[in-house]
Amino acid sequence: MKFSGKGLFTILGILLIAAGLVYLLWGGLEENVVYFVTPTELLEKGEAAVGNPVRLGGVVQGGSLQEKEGIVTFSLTDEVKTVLVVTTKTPPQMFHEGIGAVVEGALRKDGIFEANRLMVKHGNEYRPPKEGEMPQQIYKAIQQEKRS
Amino acid sequence: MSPIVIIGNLSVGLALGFSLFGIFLFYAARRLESENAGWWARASVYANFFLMTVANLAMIYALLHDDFGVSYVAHVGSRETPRWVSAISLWSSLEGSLLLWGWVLSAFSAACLYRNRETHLSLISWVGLVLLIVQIFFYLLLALPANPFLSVNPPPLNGPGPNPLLQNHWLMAVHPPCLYIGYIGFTIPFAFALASLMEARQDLPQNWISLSRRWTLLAWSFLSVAIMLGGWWSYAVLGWGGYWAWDPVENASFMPWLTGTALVHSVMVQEKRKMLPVWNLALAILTFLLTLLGTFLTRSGILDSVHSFTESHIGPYFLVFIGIALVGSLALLFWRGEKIQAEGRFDSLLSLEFLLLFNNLLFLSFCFIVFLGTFYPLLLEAVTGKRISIGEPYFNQMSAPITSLLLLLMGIGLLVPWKRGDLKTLFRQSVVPLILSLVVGFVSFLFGGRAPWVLAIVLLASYAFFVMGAEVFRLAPKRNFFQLLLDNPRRYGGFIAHTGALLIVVAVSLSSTYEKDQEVTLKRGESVKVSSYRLSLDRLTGEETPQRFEVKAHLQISRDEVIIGELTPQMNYYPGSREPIGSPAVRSSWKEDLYTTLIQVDPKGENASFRVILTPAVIWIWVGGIMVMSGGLLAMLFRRPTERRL
Repeated sequence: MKFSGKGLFTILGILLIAAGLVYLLWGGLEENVVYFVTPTELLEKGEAAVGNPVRLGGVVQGGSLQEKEGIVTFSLTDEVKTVLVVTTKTPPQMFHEGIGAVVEGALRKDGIFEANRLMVKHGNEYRPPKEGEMPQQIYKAIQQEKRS
Repeated sequence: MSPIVIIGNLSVGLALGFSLFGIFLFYAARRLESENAGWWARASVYANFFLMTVANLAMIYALLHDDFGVSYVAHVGSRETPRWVSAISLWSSLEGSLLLWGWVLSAFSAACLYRNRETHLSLISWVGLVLLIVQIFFYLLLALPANPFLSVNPPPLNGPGPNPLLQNHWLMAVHPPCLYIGYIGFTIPFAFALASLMEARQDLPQNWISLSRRWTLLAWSFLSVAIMLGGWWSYAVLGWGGYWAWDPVENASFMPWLTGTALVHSVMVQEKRKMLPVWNLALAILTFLLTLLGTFLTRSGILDSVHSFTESHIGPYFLVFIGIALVGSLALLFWRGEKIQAEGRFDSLLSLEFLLLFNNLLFLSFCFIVFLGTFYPLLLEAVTGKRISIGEPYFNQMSAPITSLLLLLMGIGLLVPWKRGDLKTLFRQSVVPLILSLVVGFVSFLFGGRAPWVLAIVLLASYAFFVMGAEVFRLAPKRNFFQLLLDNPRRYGGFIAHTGALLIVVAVSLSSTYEKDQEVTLKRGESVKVSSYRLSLDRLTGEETPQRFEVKAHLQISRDEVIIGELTPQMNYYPGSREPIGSPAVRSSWKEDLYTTLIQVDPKGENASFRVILTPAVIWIWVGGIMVMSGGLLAMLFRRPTERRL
């Protein structure tokens, strides 16, 4: 590419901006990368995982979801390893056992994962559910509640 | 077989045929300089527009009449869906969106060739040829991997309806078409850029800029408003209380906007000073490539994002086409670019042309940062298998300094003339705006706006604002703003767009820094205080509508113990969906938004959990977006005073 005229200034400007960019990127990328891990990957790291913010993804284990005084605990599993998660966030309505979930937070020293963000994994493609799946039940329950 | 299936496939097939025919004719018109061949070539472009119109109308007809014998309707239609939602389901899923895409592209092409039907036969022949090649790609998608007109036999009795997320808000009727007009509109400057490279005559670079200027502005204005509407939709529908998450799909629309904005600015340098011709060609090409990349990101399913509604087979097609477009246009740029020489020269560092070049470099750096943040995770996963996400802090940290510099340039740029400015005049004209902006900065400091980046942005934005204000004020005794606008729509339309941009930048920095967010669980009759508001849960109700079941929480809102209204955030249960979709309720004022979402209800209707978010200045983002669009359109619609005199 050719610039006419005082090419020097242009090159100077580009260099300046490039330097600024590199400086910004150096700090920015390093600090703000959040790793996405499965329970197995998290536990493999052992001590190194403690205190490092990650996104942990898995399935909410059946029978593990408990709520007491605003503190929610449940286990996330990838069928191999299981991590106990604790959070003070209110889980969304669609959150239930057996659903895929992603939590953001860090592993504590005691091996419990403290989450400050709960996300339910949406299906990428919208599919109508099969008969007898959760929403239908909630739907019916509320409908009956309304009638009575 | 449904007649719509036949009409649809016939239209797409004929459009493909006409495109090939047209390419041949445009080439002939250029080679033989034959007006006659040019006429027939244009006719084939008009024919495409007609055929795509027929195909789109046929699909809308099928959607409105629940013709489940058509595969797309069987996929997204349902008898319970309200009719207006059925009509806009045209763009609720992949195949339909591409159909609309084909229509908008054919409309743009037809309009562009009609407008230039009598001029520049050789240049316009290349333009038509490029436009038809792009069209062929989309018609091929429609004919093969993303055919919406497949026959379903026997037709099902009912369909699942469109994705609930997409039928929750009227904005869904507006956002995608605006986005498509924006995206597809950038095909026109791209076609002009390639055409002038093919011609590579010294007078042509100037020509392509003036011939495509309005198309560029049109596309840019629509893309601007589409991005804003997307943020608004996200805010009003998704219930997380924000409008922008640096989600890859959002970035996909932001990247071409950044390069497009650079182009809108740098074409002026070429018009006024005959400089940067190759740079502008490269920008037009880059912007088009980024729109393709954006579509690829959104539509290929390679992303794990809330937005990726589709996992489809069109990814490879897009990659191949992007590859061809990239290699082809780069080759042209290197092969022919040398022949295009700039006539003007930079005289001084303190000149509008230099500031605009600096502005361009900033916009491109911004684009690069967004590109890196978007693709680095994809690349890393492809290479090492590690999955990472690059958080919002990266993008925020990066965009704050660049945005500040852009604001500074905006202020100064409005004062510096072409060729050579002088520092004394700049300082003299800056005194009043500087003092006023310091006052604004001080006031916002008093009101609690103390974060350094927020202060910097408020100061720089008000400086730019007062620079514009001072000019209008100075000219006011002679003319009011409306007359000014008529006299020089490009400059003063630009003022409107710039003011809109300032509003957005300030509102974004305020709302993202001073957002207050909390979760509360209320029993019936209980109340909670959030800042100066008190929210009390009045009751929970359920309501059945034809297409869904709605659970509403009635929250009474009072301020200083005076009741000021009710908010009813709700949760919608679609029979065809696994998950309830929340509809937040928002109370907007010029100062702040009170935003409530229902997170959880107990089926007995006794208590409910909410997220309550208090965000300052959000409304100004929407106002700013509309101003940016109107400013751009005004600059486009009115003729330049010089043009009028001719």
